[in-house]
Amino acid sequence: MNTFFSLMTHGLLLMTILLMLLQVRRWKQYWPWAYLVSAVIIVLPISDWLLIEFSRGLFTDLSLASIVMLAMYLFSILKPQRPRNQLSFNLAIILFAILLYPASMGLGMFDPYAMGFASHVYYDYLVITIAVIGIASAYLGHWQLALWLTLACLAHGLHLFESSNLWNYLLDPFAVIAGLVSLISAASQKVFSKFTNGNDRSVQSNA
Amino acid sequence: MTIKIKNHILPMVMLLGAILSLSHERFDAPKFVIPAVLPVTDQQPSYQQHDASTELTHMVHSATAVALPNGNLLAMWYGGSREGHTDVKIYSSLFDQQQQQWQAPKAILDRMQVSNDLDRYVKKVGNPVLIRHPQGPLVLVYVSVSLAGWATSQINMMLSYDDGQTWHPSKHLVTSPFINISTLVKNDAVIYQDGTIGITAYHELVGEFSEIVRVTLDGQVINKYRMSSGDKTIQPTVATYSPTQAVTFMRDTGKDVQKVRRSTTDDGGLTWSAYETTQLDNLSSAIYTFTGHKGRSWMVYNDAPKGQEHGRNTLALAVSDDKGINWKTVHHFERIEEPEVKESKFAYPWVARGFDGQFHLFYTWNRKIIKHIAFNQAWLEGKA
Repeated sequence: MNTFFSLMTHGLLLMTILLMLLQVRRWKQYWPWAYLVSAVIIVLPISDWLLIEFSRGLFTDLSLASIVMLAMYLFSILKPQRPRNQLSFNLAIILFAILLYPASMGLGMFDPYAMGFASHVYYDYLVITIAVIGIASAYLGHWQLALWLTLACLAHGLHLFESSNLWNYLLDPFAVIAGLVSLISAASQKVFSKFTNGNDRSVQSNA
Repeated sequence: MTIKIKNHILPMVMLLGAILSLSHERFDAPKFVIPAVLPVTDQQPSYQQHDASTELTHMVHSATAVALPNGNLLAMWYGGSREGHTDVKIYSSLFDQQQQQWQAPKAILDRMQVSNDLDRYVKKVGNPVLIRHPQGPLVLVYVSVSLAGWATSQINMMLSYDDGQTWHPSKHLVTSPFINISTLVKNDAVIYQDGTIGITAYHELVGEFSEIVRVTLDGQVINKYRMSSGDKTIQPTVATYSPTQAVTFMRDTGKDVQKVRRSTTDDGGLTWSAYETTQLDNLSSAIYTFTGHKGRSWMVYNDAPKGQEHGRNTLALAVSDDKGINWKTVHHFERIEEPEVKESKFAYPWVARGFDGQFHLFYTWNRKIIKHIAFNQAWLEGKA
């Protein structure tokens, strides 16, 4: 069961990358062929492994943060307006990464990663905190944040992947990189549009 | 009404997820199983040398061994054309106590078998660690790599219910939040009273530190206990003294101190003291500690002092009467004359205890042979 879900998520990752490379939007009415080509490529054997098995070997299981981002991208790839990451989603991913990664890679004696195991003394607090943030964000309209935390908690509860640690369902380095890129891109667009609007205003005032 | 239900779907699913997560199985605070004190039957010192491996492969390294109930020994190591090559396999050999002879080694695991077991690409395999579990099975924990070098290692686990003749498929252990990389093993595990296993592991990416990865016999990781911060202390070797007390010694990979590090626990390994420096010189080489009679601690280690160019030209035995605070080096299993000029590599010691009370030291001899030295308590006490 773990293997099935894991390979499915790597299929999602590779499909997304391939459809980007194939520039599926340019295929117009032939877009299903692009999907078909991608679906065939991901199960092509290279040496002794399928492409999705390579991906699984190199990157292990993806977190729900990555899966939500990939699914959003894949299901909107043909639409004229693609949904962007909400600010709350990006900020939460980066905040979690700051809390988790430096200490779990050896900074100090406290290992926050261990909190994600059910036998850890702070595990209940971590689950309850995630649940409270998830429920609050659902009611406050931060649907991406709510969807991510909800699916991560559910997948962990059902033990869908190999890991028994909640953190592995919440976060991975690819989601952190994507969140950072999305945050920087949104911020630069805001600055750029402010700059452009400023020029417009000055033109108007001169006029 | 429909809209209202729709608004509540995510929170309801979240509640379900939280309830499922909170219902995961919990395990009690760790308490060590203390190995039984074996009777000393032989009063005469005994000391014998064997080669556990043949020259079947160009390179061999990282031996591990356990005693079997019938008195024989099972040893494993990895071998191939060179360390880290894709042709490296884990080899196994049996020592017949009656005939005092090692059988021809056989390959029991390679990267293709691991790939098949785990349904993923595997680039190479590495350090094996054998554990005899009190409930009967033999446990093999070993390193595999898919991404890059050893610092991106992952660990896997296999079980055998027929003393190593056949092995169940590998189980992949998820031990790290960073695409599950950088967990390695070298030394013996500790066993907890509830039957869970404390794998003495270490991390090498960015920070270098030691930790215990606690797993169930069916390969579920249930907790991790940090033994040191990311400050160049790896390959922990643990001696347990009571259900809650243990001492760990760690290899120092830094360039400043270059001595064996020591840390203690009073709560079954849940928390460890800030590490201190022992008197034992060691130029970033693997060490192994074991306990004998009279509460003595013993350590096999490379004792090259700071400044010496070749760190593995000697393999020494040291003894401590105070749980590793003060040490005295009492014997050299290997010592090269003119250590500044010649280079040899006697590395990665492992000590297994037979059911007859004999000690069995294994180590890599110049990456060519796995050496086996059998000695008894009387020989050890003669050195103390």
